Amino acid sequence: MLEIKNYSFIYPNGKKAVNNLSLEIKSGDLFAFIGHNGAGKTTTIKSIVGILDFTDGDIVVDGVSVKENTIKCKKEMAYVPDNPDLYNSLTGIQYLNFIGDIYRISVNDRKEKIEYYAHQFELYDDLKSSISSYSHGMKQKLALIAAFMHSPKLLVMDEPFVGLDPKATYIVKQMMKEFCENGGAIFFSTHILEVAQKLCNKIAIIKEGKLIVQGDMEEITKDNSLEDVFMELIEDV
Amino acid sequence: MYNIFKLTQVYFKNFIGSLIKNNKNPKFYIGILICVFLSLFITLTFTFNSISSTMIFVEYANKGVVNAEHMAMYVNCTMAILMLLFVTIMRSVMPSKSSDNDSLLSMPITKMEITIAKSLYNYVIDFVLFVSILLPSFIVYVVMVKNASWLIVVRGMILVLMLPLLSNGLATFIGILTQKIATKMKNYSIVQTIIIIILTGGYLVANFSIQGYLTNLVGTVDEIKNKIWLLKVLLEFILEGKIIGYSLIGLLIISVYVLGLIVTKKQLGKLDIKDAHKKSKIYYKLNSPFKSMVKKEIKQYFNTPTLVINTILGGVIYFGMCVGFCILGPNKIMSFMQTVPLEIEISIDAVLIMILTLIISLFNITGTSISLEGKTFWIIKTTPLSHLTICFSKVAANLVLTGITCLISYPFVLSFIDLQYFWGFLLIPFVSTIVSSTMGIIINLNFPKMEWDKEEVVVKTSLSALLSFFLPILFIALPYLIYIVEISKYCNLHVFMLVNLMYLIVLIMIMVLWINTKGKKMLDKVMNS
Repeated sequence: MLEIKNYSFIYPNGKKAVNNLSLEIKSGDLFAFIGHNGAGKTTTIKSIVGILDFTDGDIVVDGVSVKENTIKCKKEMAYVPDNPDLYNSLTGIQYLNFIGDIYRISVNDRKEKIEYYAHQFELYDDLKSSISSYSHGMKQKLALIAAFMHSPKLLVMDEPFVGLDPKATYIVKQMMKEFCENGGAIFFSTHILEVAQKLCNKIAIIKEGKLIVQGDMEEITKDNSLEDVFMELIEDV
Repeated sequence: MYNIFKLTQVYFKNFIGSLIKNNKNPKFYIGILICVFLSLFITLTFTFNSISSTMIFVEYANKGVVNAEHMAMYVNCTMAILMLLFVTIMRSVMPSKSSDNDSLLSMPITKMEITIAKSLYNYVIDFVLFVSILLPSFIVYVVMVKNASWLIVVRGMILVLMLPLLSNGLATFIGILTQKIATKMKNYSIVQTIIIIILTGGYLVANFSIQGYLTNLVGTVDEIKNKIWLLKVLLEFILEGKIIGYSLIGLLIISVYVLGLIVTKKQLGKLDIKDAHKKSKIYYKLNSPFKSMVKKEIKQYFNTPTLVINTILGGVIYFGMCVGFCILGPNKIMSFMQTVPLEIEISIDAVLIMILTLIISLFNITGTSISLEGKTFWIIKTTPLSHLTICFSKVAANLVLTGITCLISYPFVLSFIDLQYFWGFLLIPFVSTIVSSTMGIIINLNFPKMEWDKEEVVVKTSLSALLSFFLPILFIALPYLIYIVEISKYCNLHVFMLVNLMYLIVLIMIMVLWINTKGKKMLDKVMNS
């Protein structure tokens, strides 16, 4: 579903943010992308979803190169940023209709999905209100509804649990599991290692732009906690 | 005092830092050069205007009209009042709640210190504006009028020092009043925008009324001077140094400013209830991605009062002029035009089409539309929208607004033009807005400013905003300049309008081609930067 091949990213000031990263995420995978602040997680994610241009390496989504056909790739995936800045001049429902229009979701389909997800997140009544009146968590919920709404094959998330209340966090985790069980793939970054260990079947850890380890969660952690494994790995390298 | 100084210093450092952030890019220097050139051009235009008006009154004085030269200063003082009104309206639009308020309030700084620092920063910015336009006119007066003392410049500067105090003080009250009214309504920003449009219209009416009043003045200079108390006091202070009346005005200005500071301080830390009452129905409607983007652009436009006030003036003046010309009728317009000392004979329709085209072209919202995406730019970058949809939906939103303005103005246009030229009046102004809006996108792609905390940073101080205001006008005005200076004698107006239309279409085609080829790269670069 997602292949990252020898991907590197160099900032305009010459600093290498990511160095020769290669990863493969298959359908059904719930893939955690772990690393310290400034390790290159967000840069990688932004390149996958088409925000940042890159020259070295390639990123392939469902068999299509992001470099060659960005629009086709974008149709197959959804992105949830760590800090969801949304259009403050729109109401929640106006924003979701806007996303629905861009992905050409039929009226019946969008009605069904919006109502389902908005009730799940207890956001239905607030959809009538302006986004400018939303809290961080409400914006995060709205961004999640917009992401799930068009049934993407690949979901890319940057710190999806930041700002969510405990109930919403639980619902998101359930939705993520369900999404992958139904054949979708999720690639997400997080600093909450306990959640990553319980939720994910695959993991990759990077440090200063270089991949330290990747593979099955169980094989990497064995009987240890992910936190211990992570601390050990980043101190060794 | 130390905190105020430090905070003001930070504001200026931040302002300068935002200007020189991309100083390694050669385009940055070109942009800066163009801006310096345009600023000089504006200052020089006002200076030349001042020279010509002073020259006329000095000639009257030489012919024996007693104190005729004082009328030159009368005009300068009128200009000061008009500028004061303009700056006040502009300031009153700015949001009262800054993004740094929360962090400042959590620091060991008093509310009054924060208020004064912000106010000082605004004061200096306005002061530079007043000085660059009014100071040359005072110098011109002293240089051109016999026996005029340089103390006039000093007293003129004292007036200039007071004006930003008043504009800031008044703007605080207007801003708070607007906020109070708007928050009671459903759509805060849109109501605020409507109030601004009304204020802008009021300013234009005041401007035209004062201009009309000045041209219709009769009587001796002393009689004219005594007609308006405020102008009389200002004149007496600047020309003769009489301070009693001026001290009263000064006291009033300082009181308004201090009261403004106290009210602003009281507002600090209050909850922002913006849009709290806004509720709409939950609906599901299918639109094409392009139409949905256009709708989003228009909604965003009317929810950004700072942008509205900076751009809508062109549309409001265009409509106002069409109505005004309709009321005046062709004969009065003709007789008014004959008072303009031009050696070239050109038809009234040629002048009218030029004026209307240039004015509606100022209604350009695309010059900052990409920058205004700011932190929300990720949305259109991660959704399957082509760069053409993104760019042209912004142009289309601009055309919806200018199109509506043109449409509602056409019935009035019909009443004051020669009907054989109606096709030109119908097409040329609108096609010119396609040029200005498409050029706005290109300029913004070349000079984006994606990191900002308040819209006013983009709308008022970005290179893109300045360039997109002037550059399209230069391109659109070019054929008219050639026509007026060179070819009006042997070129039929129909032929000129046809050639002009073709020129505009060629410009549009070149720009569309540029967006189609280089636009994608530039749009990708915007995010990478």
